[in-house]
Amino acid sequence: MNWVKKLSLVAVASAVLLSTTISGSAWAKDDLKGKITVNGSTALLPLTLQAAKEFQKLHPKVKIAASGKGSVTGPQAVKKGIADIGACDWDASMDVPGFKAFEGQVANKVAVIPFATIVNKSVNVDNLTTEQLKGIYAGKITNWKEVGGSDEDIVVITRSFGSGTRVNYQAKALDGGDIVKKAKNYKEVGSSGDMKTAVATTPNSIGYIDLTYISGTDIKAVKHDGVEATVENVINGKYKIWSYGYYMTKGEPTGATKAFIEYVQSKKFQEGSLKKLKFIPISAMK
Amino acid sequence: MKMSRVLGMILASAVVTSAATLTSAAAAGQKPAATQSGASQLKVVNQSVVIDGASISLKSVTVNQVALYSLRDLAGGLGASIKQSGTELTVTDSMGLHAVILKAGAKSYRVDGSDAQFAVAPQSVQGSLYVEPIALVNALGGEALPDTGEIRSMARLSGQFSAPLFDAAGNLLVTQEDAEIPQLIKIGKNGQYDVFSNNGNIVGAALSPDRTAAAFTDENGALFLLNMGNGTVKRLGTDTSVKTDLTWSADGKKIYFIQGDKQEKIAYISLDEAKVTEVLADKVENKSEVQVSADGKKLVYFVTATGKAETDKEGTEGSLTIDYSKAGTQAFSLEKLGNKEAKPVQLTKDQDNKLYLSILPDGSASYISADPEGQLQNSVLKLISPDGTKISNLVADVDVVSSEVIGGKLMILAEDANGCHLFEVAPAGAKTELFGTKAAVSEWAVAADGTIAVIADGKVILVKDGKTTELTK
Repeated sequence: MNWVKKLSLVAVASAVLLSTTISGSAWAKDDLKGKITVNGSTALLPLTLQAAKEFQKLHPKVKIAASGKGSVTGPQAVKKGIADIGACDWDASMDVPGFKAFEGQVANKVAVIPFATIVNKSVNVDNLTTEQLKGIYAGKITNWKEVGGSDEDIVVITRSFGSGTRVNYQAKALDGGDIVKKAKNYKEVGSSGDMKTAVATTPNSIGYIDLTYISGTDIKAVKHDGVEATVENVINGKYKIWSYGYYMTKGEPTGATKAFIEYVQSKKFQEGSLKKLKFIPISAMK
Repeated sequence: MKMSRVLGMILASAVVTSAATLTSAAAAGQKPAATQSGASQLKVVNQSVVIDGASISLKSVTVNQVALYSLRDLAGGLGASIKQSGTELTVTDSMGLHAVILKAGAKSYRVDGSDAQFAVAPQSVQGSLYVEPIALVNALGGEALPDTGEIRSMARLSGQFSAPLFDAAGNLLVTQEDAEIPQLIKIGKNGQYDVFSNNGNIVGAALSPDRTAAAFTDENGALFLLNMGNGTVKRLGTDTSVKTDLTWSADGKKIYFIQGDKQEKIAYISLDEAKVTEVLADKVENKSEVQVSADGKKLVYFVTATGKAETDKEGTEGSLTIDYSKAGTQAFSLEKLGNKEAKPVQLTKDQDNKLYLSILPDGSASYISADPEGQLQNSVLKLISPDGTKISNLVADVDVVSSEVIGGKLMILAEDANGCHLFEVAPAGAKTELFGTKAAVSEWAVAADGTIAVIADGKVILVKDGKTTELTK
C-alpha cells in the first residue's frame, strides 16, 4: 500500500462540501472504443451476447454486433475480413475431419460446450451406445425397436454441414462415423434452436444439441454408453461428448477485440454468467 | 450455506482526531535504548489513540524520539490478553490466533514461534511495561495506519472487491474477486467482517426492495433466495430453465427474470407459491434488463438484435455475407401486465449502445446512451416519457457511466474532467452531487440511511456523514 500517494475525495451531502482522501491510482477516463463483430457458432451466440452486455457496461463506447450461422462461418468470416471474431465449436486453426485449418488464425478458448443426444418425448429409449448411434446416423438402424424401443421408424435430425455441433458429435458420439443423408425420415437444420424445435415437434425423432438448450418436456437427453449428459460428468471425465468453444481471430487479438476476449475468459465471467447460461468454465477441465 | 466465524474487526468510520501518530522506531531513527536507570526517569503522558473506532487514552513514554505505549493499555484496547511466566510476558490476540512473547529490556521477542526484534527494547517505567506499538499491533495481526494514527485490532482485508450492496441492517456486502472462489464478505456497521458466503453463484444477486433477501440462480438454472440476515439459502421452485436479469417487484412478492436458453421470454416467480408464470413469450430472442414499474402494471426491457449471416445453399465461403446494420439494442415496454391483449411496444430506434435501463416512479424509463461512433464525447442519460412517445436527454453535461433507481430516486455515476461523481437526478434532470472523487470508481451502492459505498481500484470505500473510510486495502 502506498500511503504517500493519495488522491483527494470530495464528499458532498446535503449541499455541504466534505473532503477526505482515498489512496490508490488515479481515475482515468475509459477510452476504449471501436466496433467488434462476432459471427459463427449458434451454440456460442447466447454466451457472446451476454458477455457483450456486461463488457459494454465497462466500456460503453465499444459496439459489439454478433450473428450466428454455424461454426464454420466463424473462421470463414474472419478470413474474409467481415468479422473480427469467429465463434467456432472447434479449433479452426487445426485440421478437423471435413475442414482444413484456417491458416493464420488464433484459437482463443472461451468455454466448454457439452453436447447431448436428444429424442422426442415419444421415444421410450433412455440410453444409446456409440455403436447404436453410428448405426442410426449411418442409416443402418431405422426402427426404434432395434435399440430397445417401440416399433416406430426413427426420424433422424441432424445439423447442416459446417455446424460445430455436428463436427463434434460425429467425432465424439459417433466415433468418427458418417451421417448419411436419407430420402425419408431425415432432416437437416441450421441452428441449435431449430434442432430443438425440430426434435420437440417431430415424433420418434432423434437429434443432438448442446446441453444449454435442453429444457422443457418435449425433448429429453439420452445417456451415452450409460453415462448421463451432465456438467458433472463432463468435468469428471466420464462423459466424452463435449468440446471447447473458441473465438478465432486473425492473428493475436488486439485493441477492443483483445479486451473483449479477455473479459469472456475472465474469472468473473467464467464463474458467473457463463455458468448460469449452462456452459462450463474452461478452467474446470484442467 | 456454511457460515464462517467472525474473522475480526475493522474500523468503520474515519476518525480525524488529535490522536498521537504512531511512529515506528526505525522511522524515527532512534538511538540505543535508554538504560533501565534512565527509564525510571522517563515522563509518562497520556495519549489519545483510536482503536477499532473508539478513542481511548493510553499511557506513553518517549525513548529517543520513539513513543512506547503501555503494554497493558494497548492490550486492553486491542482486546488482547497478557500472561506472565517468570520474566516473560505472553500477549495473545482476542481471537487466539497470534502470540507474542517478550521481556522487559530485551529487544528480542518471539511472534508465533519466530524470532523478531524490537528497535527499542520494552521499558519498565513505574511498574508498567512500555512497548513499541506498531510492532506489537502488527505482531498480533492488527494494523496501525500511519497517516491517521488509527489502530485496528485486525488488519483490513486486502484484495480486489466488487458488487457492493447494503442489507436492511446497514451492513455492507462485497464480493472478494481474487479469492480462489469468489467470496461474499459482510462488513458490519461497527466494522466487523465475516466471510458471509463461499457460494460463487451469489455474486450479482438481486436484492429485494426491503434488503432482507437476495435472489440468485445456479449453474442448473435453479432459483434461490439468500437471507441477508443469517445467510441461509432456500431454493425457490423447481424450474431449471435459464434465468438471467433477476429483478424484484416493488412489493417484494415476485421476482421477474428473462427466461430461456435464447433469453426469449419474460416470466416471474411468486414467492408465496414458488410458481413460474410467463409474462411475455413473443419468440423475440435476446431480451435483457427487465424492469417492472412500482404498480406492477408495466415492464420495460431491452432486446438485442443480432446481425444476419447468409450463405448459399451449399454454405460456400465465397457466398458468406453478414449484415450488421440492424444489430443493436432497443428498449421495449409491455403495459397492462396480465392482460392477454398486451403487446410489446418498441420505444427506441437509434443504433446507439443502450445500457442500464430503469423504470421511474412516474412510469417513464431511463437508460444510458453511448455513442460507439465517437461523435459524442459523453454518454447521455436518456428519458423515455411514460407514454413512450418522447425521448429526451435528462443528463448530458457529464459522461454518465452507470445509473440505478434506489428507493424511487434516480442516481447516476458520472465522469467529467475532475473525476467521478455520484449524483441524484431529479425528474427534470437537476443533479445533486452526493460525492465526488478523483479515484477510479467502478461500482457503487447506497444504503437506506444514505451511506454510500464505492469500489475504487478494487478497494471498498465507505462514505458516511461526509467522512470516507477505506474498508479494504
